[in-house]
Amino acid sequence: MTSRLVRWTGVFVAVVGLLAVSVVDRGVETEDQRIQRLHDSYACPVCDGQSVADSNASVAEAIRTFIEVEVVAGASDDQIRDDILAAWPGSLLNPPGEGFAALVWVLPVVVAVVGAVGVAFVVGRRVEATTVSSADRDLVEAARRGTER
Amino acid sequence: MTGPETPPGSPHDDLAVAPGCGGSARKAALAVGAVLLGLVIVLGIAVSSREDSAGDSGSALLGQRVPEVTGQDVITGARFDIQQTRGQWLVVNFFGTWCPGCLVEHPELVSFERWADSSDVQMLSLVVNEPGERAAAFFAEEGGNWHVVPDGRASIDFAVAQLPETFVVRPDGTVVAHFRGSVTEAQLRSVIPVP
Amino acid sequence: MYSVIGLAAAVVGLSGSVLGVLGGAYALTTSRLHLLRTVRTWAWIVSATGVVMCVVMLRALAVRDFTVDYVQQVGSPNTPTLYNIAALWSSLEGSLLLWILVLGGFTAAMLVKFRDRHDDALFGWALVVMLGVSAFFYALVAGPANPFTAVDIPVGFEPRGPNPLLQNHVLVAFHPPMLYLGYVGFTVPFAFATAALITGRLGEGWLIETRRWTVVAYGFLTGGILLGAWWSYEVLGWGGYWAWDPVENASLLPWLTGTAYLHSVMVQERRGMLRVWNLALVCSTFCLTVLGTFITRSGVIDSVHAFSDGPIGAWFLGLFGVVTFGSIGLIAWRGDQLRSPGSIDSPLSREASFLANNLLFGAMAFVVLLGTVFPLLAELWDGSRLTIGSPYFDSMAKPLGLLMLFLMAAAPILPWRKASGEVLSDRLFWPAVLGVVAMVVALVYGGRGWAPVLAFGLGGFAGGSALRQVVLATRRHGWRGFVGRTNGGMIVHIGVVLVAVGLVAADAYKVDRTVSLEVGETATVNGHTFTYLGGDGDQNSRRIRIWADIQIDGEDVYQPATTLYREQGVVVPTPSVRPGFSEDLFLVTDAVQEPGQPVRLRVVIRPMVTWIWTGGMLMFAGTVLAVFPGRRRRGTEPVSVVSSELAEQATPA
Repeated sequence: MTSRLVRWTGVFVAVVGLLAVSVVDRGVETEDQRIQRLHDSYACPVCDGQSVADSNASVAEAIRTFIEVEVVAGASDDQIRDDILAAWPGSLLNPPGEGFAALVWVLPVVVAVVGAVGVAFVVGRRVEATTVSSADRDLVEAARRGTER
Repeated sequence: MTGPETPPGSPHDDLAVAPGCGGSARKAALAVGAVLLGLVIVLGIAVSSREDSAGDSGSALLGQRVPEVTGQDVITGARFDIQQTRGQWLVVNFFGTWCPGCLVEHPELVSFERWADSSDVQMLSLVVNEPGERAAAFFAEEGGNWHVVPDGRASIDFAVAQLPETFVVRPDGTVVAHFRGSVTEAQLRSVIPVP
Repeated sequence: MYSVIGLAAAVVGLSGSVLGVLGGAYALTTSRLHLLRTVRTWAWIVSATGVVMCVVMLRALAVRDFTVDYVQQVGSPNTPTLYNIAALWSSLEGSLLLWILVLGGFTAAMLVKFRDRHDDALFGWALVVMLGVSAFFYALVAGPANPFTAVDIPVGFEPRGPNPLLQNHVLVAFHPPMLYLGYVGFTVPFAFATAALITGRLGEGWLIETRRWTVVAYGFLTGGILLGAWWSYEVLGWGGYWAWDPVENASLLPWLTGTAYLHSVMVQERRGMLRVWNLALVCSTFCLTVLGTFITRSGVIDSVHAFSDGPIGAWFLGLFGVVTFGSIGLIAWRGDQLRSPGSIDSPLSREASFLANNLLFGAMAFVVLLGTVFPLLAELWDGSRLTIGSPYFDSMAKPLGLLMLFLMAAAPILPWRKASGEVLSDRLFWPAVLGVVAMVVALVYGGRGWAPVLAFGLGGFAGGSALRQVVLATRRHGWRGFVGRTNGGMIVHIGVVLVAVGLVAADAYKVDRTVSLEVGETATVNGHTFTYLGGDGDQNSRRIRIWADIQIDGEDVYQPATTLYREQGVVVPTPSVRPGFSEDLFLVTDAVQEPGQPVRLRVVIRPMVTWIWTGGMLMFAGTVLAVFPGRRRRGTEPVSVVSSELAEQATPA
């Protein structure tokens, strides 16, 4: 038992340590990475939901250039977002977390929690399962009568 | 992988039935059904309204103040500020030499310019997605003598989707007309009252 | 002439389906089972007319008979033979013919496979359901989406040929048929599930009948989706393979519920539990294929891949409503007979882990469905325009995917009923070590960020666990350790791990740059040099192609091209990819008028993309192995057999 404990403690420590390294050693986002991330987060307004990064429509190129220029000029993500949304409402590929659109973030969490509670209920029901209610006995009895007939 | 690792199933001496499963199945089915009914209704409305919404919604800029545009004129090298044109009618044209529709409309703009010069109408071309030199060379070859400025952030502020697009601005700075696709001299003149 | 034959076949098929449904329902409800013979005849005729229609259309395409409406849409004398055949499914109406062909094929296969049980009511009802679905598609082809309509050739008619994107890569010939085999294949389990609900024979019988059919459909759907991603990567030139586009999501939805079903069905076979749930999963998988078809063909949701808007969106919505509310009604009706004879004894058991699997896949399916239709909801709610794209789906898929990988590691080694801590500890230790090694390797090769590194670790963990099972099985049973559902399933798991690791790396460490180059210039992106050597072009009656010669790292030359298709007047970029074990270099250029002009070169560097395709092939191979019968195993527990027999006897057949 103790050797198991030692082994798994080793695995656990290794995982936590490696994850810590992966986070700490990450460094800050470079300008290029930031531009790429912003390109990926807007929809090209005329190409059926393709992202600005992926589309070769002229408006996508204009928005790409705009983002590059603004990033180099030191604009914040929020400023860039406000400018683009002023021209192209709804072009953010990540729906906002407020108003009606917040539902798209909240509902999956609600469903997952309800599902998890349901699964926990099913798994935890084992004690009751051995006790058969009178309604169940009636059902079985009815089924048996059906068999005999 | 199930072979020896699996303990043999313990025999049940009676039909042990977990309670709650049957009745709750019915309730769950009804609940899911209600949600899906909503989905079908939404999709149905979407199908039936699809034809209506196909039309052009027009630019949100109409009736609004024209966005700020500044930049260096690629032909004269002078600094351009849209404020300089306040008090005059202004035609703002988005173009690129790579855009076929822009090449089609250019002669129309050139002939409109002749009328515009005599009518105190300013013209501005904003160069989209290409170096200013190429635009300058194009104007030198194809004619046209008006402000030509790199678009900077203007195509974002004007929400330009597909070149060419043209806006007409009243002397007080209000956007009064918007054309998608190649524009003609007649179309432009129809918007601007004869002085 | 082709119009007449085609339409006649469609009408015969429609009448056959309708008569088969009516006759079958009459025979079954009045217990005149001998009448089912005619239903079988109709089913054979309906399958045959599907073949006739496809052959007629292929022939009309081959001889370029432009008096047939569909040939006028997609035919052209200049299309090469392969793409002329693929033109059958390149547009809306023709794709329905392929659908009918595949559905007829599955119907015929059912007739052959169950030839000994032709008088069985369960099979009878399943056949009725198949014919009912056929009737719907035949009605479309005979009515609103008739590809055979005879038309005059307009003056000055110029044939256009298929969409250019559907005639420049050989995968076009394989991706749609494979996807349809998957989509349509799920009709069979749905038909049997419905039949079980109608007849009240809700024991494990229908499950065992359709188990292999489901695996076949699942394998084709998996292959179809991955081929689609591959095609998108090689052809579309936008630098990726999956964009969470509505049409892509539509194919993913049935895959997710199908995956959930393939796992939870084992709990029912083994323990007789989760009956309602399994029926619901089978039905929802089929309903989601219909919903997906609706999304692809109605144009309600903007998508790059959508078929041109047709008038038949409302038809598919109607079918979706009928099958959805029909299934729900049947399940609610039979709900009281679906009680479970047993319970889950421990959260540390195989059955509990399958429940957790179902929870994760169900949640994922919900996220994908919600994200796809939410823009419609928002527009109805307050008229707001909303786009939901990759960032949303990625951030939702991230936690679910990590949990799935963890479960994939733990579940296969869990015994049924109850596991002890010691068993878990012993079986999971070496897989866990492999996971740690994977994390170390990822870090050494420059992987950073907790989520990708954790994904690599969990991938190693899950892969180790699947490998352990395969090794044990082969050690115990020799080559038979690769065959059968359980062992094949483990091969699929290894494939999934490769796909997952590839997806994570290719997305998290993507580098995307656009550079402008004149001839002779060199650009450096991420340590690779790209030299523009020049360019050239060629042309034929169909297209003008211009390519740029790009030398990578001073070695091989790659030729990203742009092609102008004359008939459609469309320019299509064709990327050039240098694949590699550790990274792919993806090159695409913008259109130029003349070879050798300055180009704008987009370079997308994605690590480990080839792992995705390798994993995909392994997944397909695993499903093939899973179809073959494995080692003989114990059947379901006596209790569930008893209960199903009781149920069957209690209900008048």
